Amino acid sequence: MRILRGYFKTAAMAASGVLGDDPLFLVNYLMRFLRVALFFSLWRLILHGKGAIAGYTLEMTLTYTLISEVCRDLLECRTWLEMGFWDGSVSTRFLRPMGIFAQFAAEWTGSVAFHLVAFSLPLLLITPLLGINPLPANPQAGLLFALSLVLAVFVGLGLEYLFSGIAIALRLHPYVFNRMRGALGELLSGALLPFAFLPFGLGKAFAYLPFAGQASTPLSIYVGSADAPRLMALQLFWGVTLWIIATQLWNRNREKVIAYGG
Amino acid sequence: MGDKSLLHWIRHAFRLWAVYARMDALVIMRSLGTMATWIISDTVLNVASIMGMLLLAQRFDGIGMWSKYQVLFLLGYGSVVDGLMTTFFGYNVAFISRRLGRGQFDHTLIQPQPILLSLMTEGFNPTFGLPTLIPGIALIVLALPHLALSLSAGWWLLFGVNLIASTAIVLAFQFAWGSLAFRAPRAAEELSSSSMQLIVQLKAFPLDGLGGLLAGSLIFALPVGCVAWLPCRALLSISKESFAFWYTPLMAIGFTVFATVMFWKGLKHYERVGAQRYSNFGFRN
Repeated sequence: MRILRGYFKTAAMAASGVLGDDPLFLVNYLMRFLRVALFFSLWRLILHGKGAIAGYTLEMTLTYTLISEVCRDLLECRTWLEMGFWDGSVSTRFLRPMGIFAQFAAEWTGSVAFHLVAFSLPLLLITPLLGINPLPANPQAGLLFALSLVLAVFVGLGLEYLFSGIAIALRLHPYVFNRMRGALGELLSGALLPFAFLPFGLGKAFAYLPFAGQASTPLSIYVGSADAPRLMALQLFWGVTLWIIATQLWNRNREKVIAYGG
Repeated sequence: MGDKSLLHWIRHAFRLWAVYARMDALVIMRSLGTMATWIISDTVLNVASIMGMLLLAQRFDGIGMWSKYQVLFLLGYGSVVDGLMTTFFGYNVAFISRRLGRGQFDHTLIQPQPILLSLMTEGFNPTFGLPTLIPGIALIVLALPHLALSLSAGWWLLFGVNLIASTAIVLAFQFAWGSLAFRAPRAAEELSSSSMQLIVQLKAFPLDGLGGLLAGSLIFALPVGCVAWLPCRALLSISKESFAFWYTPLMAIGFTVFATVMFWKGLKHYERVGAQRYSNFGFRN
């Protein structure tokens, strides 16, 4: 219980730190709002009057895009672990009686909580005014979405742990690494576009990758277009696999990790 | 400096560009690994940032009134503007708030040459700019044969003028916002980073379906629409108005005047208070 309190306090500090350490978060909110508004207009431009395409109606697609933006911080799972190693700030964390990755995850939880309250909730509340239905396809879809979201975080943190381990082991510059991961991850996870809309059968291939468990699975369950049990089983499989591989990788690179950036 | 002719400064600018191009090549070629990492990552990043729109255009055979190849041209044009920014205004010239916020502008002020010349030359980094520029040019080259355009010398001239105007608008927007770092160096240090992210992330969207207020804001307040959408509508004859070719150049003049006033006012403030902090991080030194 005492240990848990430490993580909770870390998360609370990270949440309040957003206001002090990142005064530009309002500019980022503006950007996020404009981006999602542009996507709404894009979908209306493409799908208006066309009925269902690949199982997605215009309404479902708008809801998919909305929930993707609302849950974006949760679905991205960026703890910036590799940055801590790169600039050496991780050294002070070794002095705390807590796990290293767990500290980063607690900080991530805190900042996500802040953004959920300050951006996602207001966005969710104003979207009915923009003619978008924020509700899930049905109550069962809502419940399965909640479970799938937990699995998405499990997969997302596993990917974060694994990729940070790879970046540190290969001594990749975090700036390069983050930009590449952000751009590729958004496309491969289905956070940007529903897989059903991808040409050349790419969507079917992407659905089997671990990234799909981060965004596409919970979002398609929410709008009622997915075979939920099968996709959630795949999420669970990828989550467990990623955590096993990542733990092995970190154990094997322990000495290199200690020296990196310190 | 006042007795030197314009021709002297133009020659000087070319000399500086040559020096900075060489320095840039030396930085990237110091190891094969570094070179490969930067080139591959920048290419992947730039392709990935437009891939979503590209796949959508392929899947739906275009977007709204834009055909598939018109979208390809739009994305290529936006990437070339990005590439020109990276090539000519790298090393935090485009991200000017970082230089101002970190107290590095004194490096520029003590040089025996006009400030404008320093800002126009210091960021020249063609080697780093190429991975952004080449995919953009490739997209335009791929799209052009499929577009019913008469590619006369006049069209190419207007293409060049619009391209320079779009680049000038992005730079002016960066400087107008970035000038706030003269007054609030700590809080606004990363402002240029946020404003550039806004431009880069939103530049690929066709704005046709937006309402008047939002579309107007994305042209006049946050000039995302001027990066690719507005000039491409004119260049691809989607906009039938004969004056459409000149919208972006006129906007460029307006934004440049606004940015110059903002920067000049900030500089006046800086002359009185100076820099309260200094970090050499990210400066070309």
